[in-house]
Amino acid sequence: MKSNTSNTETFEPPKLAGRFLEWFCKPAWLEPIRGDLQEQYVCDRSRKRKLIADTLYWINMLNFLRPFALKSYLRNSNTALMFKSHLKISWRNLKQQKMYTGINVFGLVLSTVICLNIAFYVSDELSYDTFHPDYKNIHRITVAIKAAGGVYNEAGTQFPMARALRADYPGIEQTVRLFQPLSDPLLIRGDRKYTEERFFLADPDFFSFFGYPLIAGSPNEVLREPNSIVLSERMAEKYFGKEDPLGKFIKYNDHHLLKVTGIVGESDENSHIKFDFVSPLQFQLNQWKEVSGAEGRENKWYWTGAWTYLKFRNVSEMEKVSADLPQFVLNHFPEKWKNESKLDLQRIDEIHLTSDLLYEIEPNGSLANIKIFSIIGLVLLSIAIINFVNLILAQSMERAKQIGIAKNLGATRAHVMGQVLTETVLICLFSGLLGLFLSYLTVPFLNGITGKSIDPTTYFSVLNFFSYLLLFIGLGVISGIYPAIYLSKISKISAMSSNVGRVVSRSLVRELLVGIQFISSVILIISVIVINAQRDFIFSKNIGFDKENMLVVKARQDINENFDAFKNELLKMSEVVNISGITEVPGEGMGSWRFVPEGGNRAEPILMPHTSVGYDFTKTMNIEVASGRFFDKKFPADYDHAFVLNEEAVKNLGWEDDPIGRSLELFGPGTENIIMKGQVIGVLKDYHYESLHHPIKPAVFSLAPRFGNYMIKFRTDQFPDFVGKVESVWAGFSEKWPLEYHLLDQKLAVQYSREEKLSQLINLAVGIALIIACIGIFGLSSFMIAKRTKEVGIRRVLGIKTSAIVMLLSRNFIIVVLVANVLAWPVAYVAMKGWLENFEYTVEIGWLAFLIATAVTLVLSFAITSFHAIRVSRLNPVKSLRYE
Amino acid sequence: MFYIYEKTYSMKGTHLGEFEELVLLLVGVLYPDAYGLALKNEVVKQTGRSAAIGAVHSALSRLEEKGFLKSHLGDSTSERGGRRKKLYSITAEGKKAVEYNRSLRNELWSQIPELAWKG
Repeated sequence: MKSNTSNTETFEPPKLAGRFLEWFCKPAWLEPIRGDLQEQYVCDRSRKRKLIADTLYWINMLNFLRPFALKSYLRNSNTALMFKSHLKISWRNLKQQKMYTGINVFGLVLSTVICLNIAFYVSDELSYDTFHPDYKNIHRITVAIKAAGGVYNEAGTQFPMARALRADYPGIEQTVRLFQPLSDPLLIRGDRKYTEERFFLADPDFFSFFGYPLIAGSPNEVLREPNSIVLSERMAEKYFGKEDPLGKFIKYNDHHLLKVTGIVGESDENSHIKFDFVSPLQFQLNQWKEVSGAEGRENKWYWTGAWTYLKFRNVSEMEKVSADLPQFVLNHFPEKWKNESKLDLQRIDEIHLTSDLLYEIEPNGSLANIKIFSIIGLVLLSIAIINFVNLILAQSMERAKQIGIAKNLGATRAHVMGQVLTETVLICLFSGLLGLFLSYLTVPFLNGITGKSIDPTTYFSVLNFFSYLLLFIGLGVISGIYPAIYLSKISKISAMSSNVGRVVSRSLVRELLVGIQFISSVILIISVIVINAQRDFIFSKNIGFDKENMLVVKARQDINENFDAFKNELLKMSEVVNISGITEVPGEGMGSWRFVPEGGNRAEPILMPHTSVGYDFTKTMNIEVASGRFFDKKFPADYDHAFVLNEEAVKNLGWEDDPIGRSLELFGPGTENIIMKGQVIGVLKDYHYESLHHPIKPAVFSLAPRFGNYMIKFRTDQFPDFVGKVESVWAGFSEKWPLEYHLLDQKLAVQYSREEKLSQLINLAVGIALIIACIGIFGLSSFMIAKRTKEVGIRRVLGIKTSAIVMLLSRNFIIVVLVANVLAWPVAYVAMKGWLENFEYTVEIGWLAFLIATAVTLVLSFAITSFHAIRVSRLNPVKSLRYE
Repeated sequence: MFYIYEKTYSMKGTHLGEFEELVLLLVGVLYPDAYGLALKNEVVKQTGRSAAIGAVHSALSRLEEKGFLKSHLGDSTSERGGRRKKLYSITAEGKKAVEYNRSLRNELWSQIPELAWKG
């Protein structure tokens, strides 16, 4: 440490800390102390990270806040003594006013807990996909195709896209395509056999492209061999227990063996790509080649099946490519799509909150919710702060004398302000720290509601702790500043006079603050009513088909081959009402196919959502036939020669007059071949085959013998028994596959989990906001009314009734509440109108919501004030006249 | 009662606290290069207990005030950002104080009967 060599690096310690030291330290001590600190800092820096060394520098520096080192005016001055005295007096005041201190602390702690939890939630949502190295240059390319019934915005793009982009633009450094098998694969290892949803196929660069941490295997190697698989830690445990899975095999769909080449750590939860298994895309491509020959789907420009991610060399390259995308479309897209398609780039960290396209990897988060949560958090905090300010102002009557005496003894305005601020900062600091501690404990609860896995320790580092401290102190100053100014203004004489209460009680600001509090409460109540009504509306809206008591069973090859026998076997059960098959689960959308309508041009097919269904589909799902007929066994020609449309499709094709008998041609996926030609035999009433976030689009149905899902309508009280029976029937037809089922209503409810979460959280937050506001009014009104004890005594002596006293005392509050309500209505209306725009189908905002909000606030405030009023009016006048 | 000045009388005497004695002795040990940070590191090294840098400086300033130490500004090194050290050495008074403590202790030790250690 004594070396005089100048080749040691010179480290600059934190400047602010140095300046602070200069401010408080005696000049004579400054040089040796700074020297010592610097020496220690250099020593720390050479061994530890900068952040830690900086923190230690601060701690060591603050350690010199000792009498010997302080400048003399700081040590022996009034300032230091005053501060000591402020602390002491604050402590006494807080102790003396236990109830009000309690109310303040309670409100502040509660709101801190909620605010911090909201902050954790929001920052977790905002942190999605920011852990990838160089994430600012990673984009997903998406496509919008104009077609019948609207624009189809797809998250996926065509398989050849990645290669073509790389060839055309040197600014693209790397590309990765992702794909999910059309039906969830069955993975088998010994007797462990599960169908897995979180299975992805990816280009070999997947792990060097994204930031998912491999704990075994090297990023460039794990996906080189087509028959390999990378597992998550959790899945390694599920399939291999304590064994080392590396180099071992997992069987895929009973045909293929995949070798485990790597294990990925569990840090992918805040990514929009949540996977447990990744295999090379080449594995899938090889399978397709076996089926359809060398020209597999990967070379076709029709099928938007691959999520394609691009890494650009830098932002300006990205902008260059982005500007050139229309040209790219013209160069590569098939003739008929050239003029109707548009490509877009989404930065990876923005996907989770802003992207809401068709064929997303998972339902994304919602920016609107984030905004609503943040606003609620701030409103809660401000309600608590307003309470706090109000109660301090209300106490000023008691405090005025104290302040008067202090002023007469020579205290200046600054002293009085210092006293008040010390008190508010103390309370905020205490409540804040307590709230911080509690919010640490409540994070698991938050995770429970939101389904996230937030690790609370992320938000509790040393540095964060300092910023929390600063925040709480800041809150204390903000809430104390007005009372400080206000109280310090009281003149020496008026403070000592007996009617000081009158002087300080007339505060317009206080009424204003109470008003703001009520306005926020009313807005929150109205929002809560509307949001809940909208949620109920979604759950109860007639979606055009029956979702209750409907079992959705994943279709499998063995069953598809023997579907009629399987169906007959099930229909023998008394619980089964009907059964049918369909490609996509009703309510979860349909894929778009290319059609050529009657009189149309084959070179210009139109896109329409299309699905294959089985006999009895309309009966099973309880969907009404508007005209014509549905597929029927009596007409064998229905196979391959008949289409059924929905009303929207009829409207879009302009066939309103006579849809029946019109002809349509259907292109096969990814080929130039017409796979089906047929006539329209019937029209179905529109039903919501997508979630209610989307309007009803055209839909075309055709009859098929094979399906993606079986829909079983049942009636039973013994659901487990019923499923057991279905399972045993299933086992008779399929040895290989386990029965995989959902209840349709539960499956569809997932689509509205965002709204569900929102309404849960907002109910909680609003409940708490109301509690805080109520206790605030409770405290405030008790003060206001206590002040009028004498007046009430006199009136009582003169013979006033209790009810009249209650009216007299609550009048002021009632007026404030009414005015606040009137002001809050339009704000709430506009806010809710905006929120409802997220939905295609919404409830009306009824006047009932407004009336309820007003009634709730009126009743609550009246109840609280009359509680105090009755208490005061029932005092013996002899006692109340002696008050003060 | 708002701003009542509370006088605090500091005990200025020749009493030597335990930590002060330790620091005083270490100033001797490190002579002639006894300054704040070195002393702090020496405290850690010799006793194994942690000491805050501020506490060491504070003790040094008290000892100097009592006249047991004297100080002068010494040389500077690059890692101190060119700032000089405050170097301490023991005064005659200081020597007397530690000697007194030591003799007091020896005296007390000698008065403890052998038997007392066995109970």
